[in-house]
Amino acid sequence: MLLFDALKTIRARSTGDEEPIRFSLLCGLTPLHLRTFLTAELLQRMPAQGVDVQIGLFGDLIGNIERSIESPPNGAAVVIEWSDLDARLGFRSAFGWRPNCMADIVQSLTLRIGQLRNALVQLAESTPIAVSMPTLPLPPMFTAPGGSADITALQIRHQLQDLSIQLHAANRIRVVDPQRLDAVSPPGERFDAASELRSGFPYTNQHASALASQLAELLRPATALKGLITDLDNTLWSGIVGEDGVDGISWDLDRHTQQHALYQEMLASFAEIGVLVAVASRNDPAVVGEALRRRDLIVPAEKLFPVEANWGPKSQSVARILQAWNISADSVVFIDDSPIELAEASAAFPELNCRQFPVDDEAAVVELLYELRDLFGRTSVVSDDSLRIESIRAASELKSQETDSEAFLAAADAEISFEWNQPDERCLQLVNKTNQFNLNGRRIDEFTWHRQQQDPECFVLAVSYRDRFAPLGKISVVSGRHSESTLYVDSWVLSCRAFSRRIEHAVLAALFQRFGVDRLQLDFAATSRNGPMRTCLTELLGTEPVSGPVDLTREIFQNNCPNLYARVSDDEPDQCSIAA
Amino acid sequence: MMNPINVQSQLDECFAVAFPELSAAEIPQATMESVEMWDSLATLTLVSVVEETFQIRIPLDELPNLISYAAVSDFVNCPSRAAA
Repeated sequence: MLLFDALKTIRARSTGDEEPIRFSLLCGLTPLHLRTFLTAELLQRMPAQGVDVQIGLFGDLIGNIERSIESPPNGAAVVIEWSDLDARLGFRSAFGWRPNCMADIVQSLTLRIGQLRNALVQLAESTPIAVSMPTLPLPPMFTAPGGSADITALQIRHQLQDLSIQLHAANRIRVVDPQRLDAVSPPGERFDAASELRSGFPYTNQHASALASQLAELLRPATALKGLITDLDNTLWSGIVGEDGVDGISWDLDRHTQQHALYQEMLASFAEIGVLVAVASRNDPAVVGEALRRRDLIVPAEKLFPVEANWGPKSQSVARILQAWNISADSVVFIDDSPIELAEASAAFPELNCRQFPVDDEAAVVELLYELRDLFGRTSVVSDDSLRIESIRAASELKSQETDSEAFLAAADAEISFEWNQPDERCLQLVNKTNQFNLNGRRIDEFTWHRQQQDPECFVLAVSYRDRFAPLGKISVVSGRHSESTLYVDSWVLSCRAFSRRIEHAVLAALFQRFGVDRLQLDFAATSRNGPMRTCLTELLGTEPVSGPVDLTREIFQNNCPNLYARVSDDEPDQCSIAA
Repeated sequence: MMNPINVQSQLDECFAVAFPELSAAEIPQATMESVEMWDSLATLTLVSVVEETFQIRIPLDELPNLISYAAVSDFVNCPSRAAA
């Protein structure tokens, strides 16, 4: 981003009356253009909100962090440079480059790093933090000849590496990936000596822009995509299985088709973290079935679901896959080697993220793999992620047997588990990625979520489900406030994998029962995608809800609630005040 | 040779993003004294934006002279002073 564009972005958004979201840029350098770039990058990631990036005092990184602890912002970008750890490692203090200072620098660094770590961990208790480790070169202060690593420099870098690992292990601290930063901001083009010596701002504009972009991405990460649909011939493997035969297709070094093996390994890795992976191939289904049974296939065939192998248009296969997954096209990437197939699918689903598999271009395949890793990246992997494909398969079976839903649900041997006020990372993940059964579509940032949990009037209910087909894991989250005779529900989501099981009714029954209220007030807002929520409320209320507070009384709920068959287990059964 | 009309309109844009509180009419008259937000850090921002826009390098020694719209305009219009 150019500074001009950053300023323009800020200027275009500075007219609103709404209270801006407060961030801190915590550093010891003059923040100058880094602040401008960070503000613009955050604004681009938060199109509906204003942003105010506050700064601290020059040369006092740890003091700035400590002051933020007293009044935590919604997120903090922490930029560490060498001079913050020891002034002798910077260019603005001309001392400490003599050989007899080296041991003292290493020793004092240990102390300073300890202080920094403690301050950051303390700040992270109340707000998410993005940290960048020193990005600039160390000064020419070491005695080793050119090209040879100096032991003091190695020791200094080693200590910083340790700090990165410790910070990464802390809750709510994310560390900028140095490899990614190297790729977008070459190390030799980062330092502006004149600017550093004259104004205390050591970065070139290009580096400040790249660093701000990485920090903003950590503070406001893009929502990870949910599914990947892959072609087979010349994509999952090299060759055309219908012509070359099952043994003629390859993914190995010997036949120079290793790029397909890498792609398969990436899909296998995706499946492990809960990304849905399906196949859309214009092929003979019997031949595809045989090929997918090859024992040397790197991505396990059972992780591919559904497999759409037929001679129809790809768009129809994509449509069936999206229906089986019950997710929208904008959460999905479609990869095919044929530009025509991609164009046809894209015409039917304009929101589908279509990528061409670059056959015979190994470098482009590697680039594609990096891009895919970004699109499907997760800050953490929770155990429920690996259940996803099994539960979709189970839901598909459920649909196919749905001749008599009452009899089916009665025989499903289902169990719903309620867990009160113990929100984990999965809860916030669900709130922020569920679109269809979502009370109002509002996303919640980590800071606000954390604040709500500390309010004694607020509650969070996490719901898990299992039946004889499969465990679905944690699939619903409700949060809100309790006040006298009314329970206010601010947020409610239910994963699309868990539809048609009457879990939503069991959740409402649990809310009435636990809080002993006669009325729930739901903060409903119609969105372009929350039709299932609207349908559920319409069925319960007998009339379509409009955006705004929606009242659901115990009487109306009990009159319209269908039969519930699932067993319920509650982690705090004694808290229930009135039986439903 | 840069087109003087284009130069002026691009320079106006630079001032508009660096000093968003200025109206279009106030920009040509802007000086460090008359614009409250124009301090030494704002000069650094303005200079960076001008460098990006006109693809030039402004030597840091020139900064004390760039204290008005007219001065910046003179500098940009004098190719011998601005290193490409």
